[in-house]
Amino acid sequence: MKRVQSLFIPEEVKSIWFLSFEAQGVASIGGLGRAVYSLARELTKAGFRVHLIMPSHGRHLDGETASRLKLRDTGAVIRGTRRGLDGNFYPYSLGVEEGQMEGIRLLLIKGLDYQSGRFLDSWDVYNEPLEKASLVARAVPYLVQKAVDLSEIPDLIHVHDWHMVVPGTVAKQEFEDRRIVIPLVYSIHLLGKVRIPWHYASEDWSGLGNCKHYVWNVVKHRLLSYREIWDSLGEGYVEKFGAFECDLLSTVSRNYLTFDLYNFLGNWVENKSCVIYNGTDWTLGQAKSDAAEIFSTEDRREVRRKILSHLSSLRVIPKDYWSGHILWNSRGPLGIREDWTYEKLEDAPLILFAGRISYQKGPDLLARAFRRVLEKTKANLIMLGIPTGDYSLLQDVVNTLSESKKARIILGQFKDDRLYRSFFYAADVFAMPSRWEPFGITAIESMAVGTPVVGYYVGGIAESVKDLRGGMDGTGFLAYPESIEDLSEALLTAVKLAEADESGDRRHLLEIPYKLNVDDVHLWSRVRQNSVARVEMLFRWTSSARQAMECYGKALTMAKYRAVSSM
Amino acid sequence: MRYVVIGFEVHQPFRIRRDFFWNPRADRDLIERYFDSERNREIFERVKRKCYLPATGIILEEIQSGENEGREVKFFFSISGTFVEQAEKWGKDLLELLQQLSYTHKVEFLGQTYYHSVTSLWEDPTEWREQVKLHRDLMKSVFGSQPETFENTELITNRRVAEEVESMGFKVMLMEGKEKVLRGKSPNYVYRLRGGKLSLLPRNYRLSDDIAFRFSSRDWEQYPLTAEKFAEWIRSSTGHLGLVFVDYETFGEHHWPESGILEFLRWLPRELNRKGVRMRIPREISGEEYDELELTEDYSSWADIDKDETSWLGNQMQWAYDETVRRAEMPSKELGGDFLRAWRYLTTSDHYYYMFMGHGGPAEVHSYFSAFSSATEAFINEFYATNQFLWEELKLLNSPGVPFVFRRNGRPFAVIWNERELKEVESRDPETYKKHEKYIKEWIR
Repeated sequence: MKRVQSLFIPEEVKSIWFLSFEAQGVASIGGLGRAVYSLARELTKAGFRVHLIMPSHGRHLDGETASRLKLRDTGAVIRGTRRGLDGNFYPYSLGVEEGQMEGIRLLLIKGLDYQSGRFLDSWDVYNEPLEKASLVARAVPYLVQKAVDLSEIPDLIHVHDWHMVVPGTVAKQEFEDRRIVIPLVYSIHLLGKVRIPWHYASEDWSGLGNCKHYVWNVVKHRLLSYREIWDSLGEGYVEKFGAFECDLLSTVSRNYLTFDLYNFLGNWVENKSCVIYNGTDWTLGQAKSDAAEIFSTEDRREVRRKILSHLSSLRVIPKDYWSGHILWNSRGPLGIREDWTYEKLEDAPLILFAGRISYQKGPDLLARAFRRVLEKTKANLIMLGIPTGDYSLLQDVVNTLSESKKARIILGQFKDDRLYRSFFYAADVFAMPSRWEPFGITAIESMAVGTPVVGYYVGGIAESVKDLRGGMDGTGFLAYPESIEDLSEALLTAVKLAEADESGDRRHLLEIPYKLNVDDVHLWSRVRQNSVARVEMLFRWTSSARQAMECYGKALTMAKYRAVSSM
Repeated sequence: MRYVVIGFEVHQPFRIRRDFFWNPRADRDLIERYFDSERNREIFERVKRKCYLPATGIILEEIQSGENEGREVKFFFSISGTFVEQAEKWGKDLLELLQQLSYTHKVEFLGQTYYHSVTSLWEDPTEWREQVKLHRDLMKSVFGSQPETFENTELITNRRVAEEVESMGFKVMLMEGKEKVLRGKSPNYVYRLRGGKLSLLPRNYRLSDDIAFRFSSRDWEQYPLTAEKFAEWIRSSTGHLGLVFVDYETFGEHHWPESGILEFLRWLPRELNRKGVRMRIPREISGEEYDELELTEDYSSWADIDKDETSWLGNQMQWAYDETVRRAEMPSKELGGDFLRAWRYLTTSDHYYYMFMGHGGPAEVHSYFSAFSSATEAFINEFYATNQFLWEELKLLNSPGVPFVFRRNGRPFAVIWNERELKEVESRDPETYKKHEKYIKEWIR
């Protein structure tokens, strides 16, 4: 720490507090958990000390998780009361579990009584997220005091997504109350646009005192109270509040920053924002060895043929009743058999989709585009979907795909990760028809195993995928956002290039709808190589950690400006 | 929504003389005798000055600045034949400006009926088809483009109309996003006509009416409507593609320039681009059908609250006027020349619209657009004019005073006045002709 007048500011970033709702290996349901864990792991490998602070989500009660993470109760007892809008007082009693995961130090906030435990220890990660976050915020002053006592003061606080904005801000303020200025980085992985009254963050509920402090406002730091920022500048949106409170705002792609965050937050954040791409651990070598182990071959065509016939022994039952019910009612056209295995598909180019069955992911657009592809050529579509409760959308996708009999919808988790990866390896093209996408991790996973991507020109996809029409180093095609016709043409082009590559037959090149000057019958093999190379170059977690370090440097500078604003 | 299609209805009718009944004239020229050229010119020149020239200038400038800045600025125009005729007479400069728009290839000119008529509501579609063909030829000769998209007068649509439009070779048809027709579906998608190939593009009437009706309403909680706000509404609307379709006169005539409407038009493309909403034109959306849409025999349109055909054929005065117009069809076609032209002017929907008898909001709208002080006043003069017109024709043709009415599906199909006109009916529908053969003999006797 460096002393500036009466304040202390870190000289460089060596120790970081991560505040997140999810982390893979602890409790995670989606991309956020994977990103937080992987970034923390890479930073740890690079020599940073990372503390990961999150709600326990009841994981300390699970013997296997507790032992794997070496969780132990720290003995902390944090007691207090929260005052509701109804004027009543609500007591809480919190504890802290400490553990380790690949060098990352874990601090899990748990409940010590029923009233706190029913929120914090709920196994469902997103059950009552506001209450979970509020109680974590109540534990933060203890963690800050402990860090000061043990001289383990972090050099930077990194908050992930809106849930942890209030706990992160409380932490920043608690340190400042002790004259220590800690930079705050706030990462938006996906905008939630959650709006809550000030009472939620206030001293009454989450413990954020309404004191005046300096925040960056367009061209300079201004002295404002938390409530002024929450109500007037933030309009009650947690993410807008977080954008004002942080020293640096980061997100997962430049397009998401430009077209989504600027539109929501305002362009003023431009001079305090940066991008940290997500990464992937998937490799081509790993996919090949997976395929060799399961299917006794590394040859993509052979793996595809075997996967399409392996469907008859693949048994995946949707966990939620209504999703299963919808599939079951159309089991004939969808090739679902009485025992929840699938009818095999004839060998033909394979288009793969993997992701949530949600409006954002655009499976309805893909289903319609696939119908148009089938008018021109033979192809199969496999959707590896995760149900989200949007049953009308699922019904729509089922109805649209039922006519073709060339599609299989598989909803649910695979028991074998290797088999899941083999679907990506075997596919001729991976479809990513998201209507919007902050990053889109499945696109880089697909490219990592050499499967080119066809998606819409949106968000992170437009940065991770390089359109082949823009140069021979392309890794797929980017269609006009939400255009069914353009998506179908892009898919058809990809399928035809794959067929030409596979058969060596140039006639397939003549059936390409896109205007491509293709001479090389094996162009698709090159595109596969380009895909692998692009991931290696840009989308490994080591690259993400490097980008994070650059962002942390900027955040530290901004925090220094903030500190001297009062002088 | 990622995409928006924005376009304008551009139409001016040839208004019948306001005092035709009260102050008969003996003008030698047929058109001058029935139609108020002086008034038509006065209105056209006023609207040209306040709306057509400035709005078209803005659109041209914005298309050009879009080209310079790498943005796509696109609009469509649905221009009636009667408008083009008036522009040729009283607005050559405007016509040239519109032609300049066509050179940019960023503007689509839609097909419609030449006379902006309600002939699609008739049992016999022959005249409607002819008017569509006349309009197609006009668009080709004036703007050099063959329309691929069709906009029926005031978006009058039903299954029969849509099927006819498809058979005439159009790929896309605009229709009103009326809830009863969409039956729970969103207007913000492209649909395919069930059983056909025609793409149907429903109008988002809420967004359209925000500009057309509410823009200068100070009582509206969203007043004032800025381009940024409107672009944000489009962006945050769920769906794929929104159709905003309003009268061109909205820009400077219905809402005066002082309201800021022309500035709104100027800034809208930039704001849409800033929000990531792409402008498209209707011919580009063929192939984007999200779902099928089943149309029934019930009509939908963009007019008034009921959004059906009753704004033009909803009361006895309108039915009587329509009946007289239809009685004059065969004689007009027999006489041809100015008689046919004048008769076709009479089929224009505006004449029917002036006789609307509703009350409340719709009636206020009608009175604003009316060439007469009331529906009764419109009926007295228009009905007398059509009857007088028919009488003139019959006199020239030396036809007997009793017509023969062919009916099909319980509705009048054709009205003839002499044996010469029989052939025309036979060629239009031999089956209907055959069904009436024995009555025809009696009528001839």
